[in-house]
Amino acid sequence: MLKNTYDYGDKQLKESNQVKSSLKFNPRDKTSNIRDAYAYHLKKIIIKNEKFVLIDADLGTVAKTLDFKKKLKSRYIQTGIAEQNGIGISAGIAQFGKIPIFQSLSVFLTGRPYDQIRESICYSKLNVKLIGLHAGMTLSPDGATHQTGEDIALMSSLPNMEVYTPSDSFQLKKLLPKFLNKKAPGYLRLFFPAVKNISKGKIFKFQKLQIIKPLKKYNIVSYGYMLQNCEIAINYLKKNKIELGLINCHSIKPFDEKSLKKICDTTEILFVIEDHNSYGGLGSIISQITSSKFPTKIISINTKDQFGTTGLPEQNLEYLGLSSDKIAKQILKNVLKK
Amino acid sequence: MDRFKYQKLKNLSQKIRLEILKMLSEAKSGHPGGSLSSADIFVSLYFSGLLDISKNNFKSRIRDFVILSAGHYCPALYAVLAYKNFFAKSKLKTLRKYKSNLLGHPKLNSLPGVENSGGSLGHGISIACGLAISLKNIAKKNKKKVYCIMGDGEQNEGQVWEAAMFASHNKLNNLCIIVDVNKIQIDGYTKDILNSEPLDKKYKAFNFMVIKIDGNDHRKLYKAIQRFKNYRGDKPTVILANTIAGKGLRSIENKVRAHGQPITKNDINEFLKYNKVKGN
Repeated sequence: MLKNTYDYGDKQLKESNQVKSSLKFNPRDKTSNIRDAYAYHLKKIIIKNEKFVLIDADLGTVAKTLDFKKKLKSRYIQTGIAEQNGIGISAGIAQFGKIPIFQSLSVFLTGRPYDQIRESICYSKLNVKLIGLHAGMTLSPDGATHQTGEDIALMSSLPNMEVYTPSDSFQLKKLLPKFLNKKAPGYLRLFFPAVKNISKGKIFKFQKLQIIKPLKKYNIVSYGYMLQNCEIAINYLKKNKIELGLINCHSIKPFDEKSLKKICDTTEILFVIEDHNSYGGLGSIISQITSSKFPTKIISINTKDQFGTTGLPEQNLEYLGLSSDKIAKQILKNVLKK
Repeated sequence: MDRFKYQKLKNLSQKIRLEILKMLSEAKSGHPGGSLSSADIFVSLYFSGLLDISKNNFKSRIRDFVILSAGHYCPALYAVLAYKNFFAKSKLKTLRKYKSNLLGHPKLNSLPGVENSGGSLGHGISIACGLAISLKNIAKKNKKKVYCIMGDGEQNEGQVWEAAMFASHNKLNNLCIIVDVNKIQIDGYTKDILNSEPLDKKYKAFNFMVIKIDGNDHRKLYKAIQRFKNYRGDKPTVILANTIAGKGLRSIENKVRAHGQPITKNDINEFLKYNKVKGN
């Protein structure tokens, strides 16, 4: 029997309950939350550059960007709780030649105004930046209404739209300016609980897969918050003499097929682990590429077409089979089957 | 404007209507109802001298903008743009044809002068608000205006009212919405499908300056647009233009089927029988 590798001791419990985090962002800190990092780096980039216009739909408090208003002045626009109109406003501003950054909770940003994103932004090929806050399954106390397991499927299915997600605050610092300065419609998937700066010291190339742990016979591709759980699972399995490599995918669309091919050349089983639905997630994307171009055994571990529940982030992930413990169990099962 | 000029605009509207019918007959599908009802609105906007858009300045940002929220009215827009020399009139017959730039519903920049993608209703008013707030707040000290043309069936969409709230909250007095009230939508008369009336009271409650006119009368259209341009208050403006669906083609005038009835050569003959088209 596997031991529960995730310690539910006081410290971890506090850290996993970062939804209302009090942790201050510190660029030098090993663990720091993306919410503060996002606000910190965004402010640095957009206050100086007159091209950017920040648009909030009554969730600036969540993004901690409400105080930008004083500095941005007319470059700050509040649309109220009206995402459909917010996307149209963004499209109009982009048509005018500015770069609008529209942020809202991922679930409200990608689902409700989908038609507006499709027609007013993607079809018109307008340079609008969409920032999805609390994406994935970690806004768990609020329940499934506020969690997002479909955003990647929705956004990546739109022609012209690009989809990115940082793994930690360290990577966000590198990714954010590239994302904001890329001339294309783009969606950035952010999660907020604090995680270890897992990508620190690893080579980062924009739109390329990033090796976090050296490649082995069995490898994991993951992104966002789930990388942390994958790392814990890998460390546990190492003790059981099963070694796995870990790859971070910050650019879901466009997807780095070239690097994937290289990885698959030496991989026996590729595990794709994500806090997203099985339909239209990274697992789907990778399976589609590999099955037609370089067949590889893919095991997708995801939310399996279920909604989440309430509780702490780690409890919700446990419920969905995505805790480090359950990930390790699933990997073990598949490796032993070999 | 004198009587002679009004007559000229009226004649041009008839020419545009004939052009629309020819385009639709060539395409064998499309939307005559709204295209014909709104022809006077388009002609009045683009040819009365009140609008600052031309072939030479449409790439600039400091100029007026026209957003067509009711995308299915595009035959009227295309015809007017061609007559305004944005592109060759010979292109008009390619409407809805394979790989034509004259798409069944407009796409931003597909043709010079096409300012938005539209087809899904209710989107254009938000885009217009985005342009209006950009002109007002971002590029300060300009007097340029944003016009947005909508249908009355389109008023069913919730997004319209989100945008209306936004426009008055942000005092977008440089925004003029023109609603072509032709009283039909696909499934029936607007009053029977989902009654959006009283639109004047609704927009008044949303803190708009409301102008209600006969939208097929050039004199009234000109005066309404002029009133908006001279308005010094801080409200956005809505012109509720009461029009006749399928105007000019008697067999479909004010009928529900005007919305999407295919146009035939017989329809063109019928139009020519009852309408004087000068200079054709």
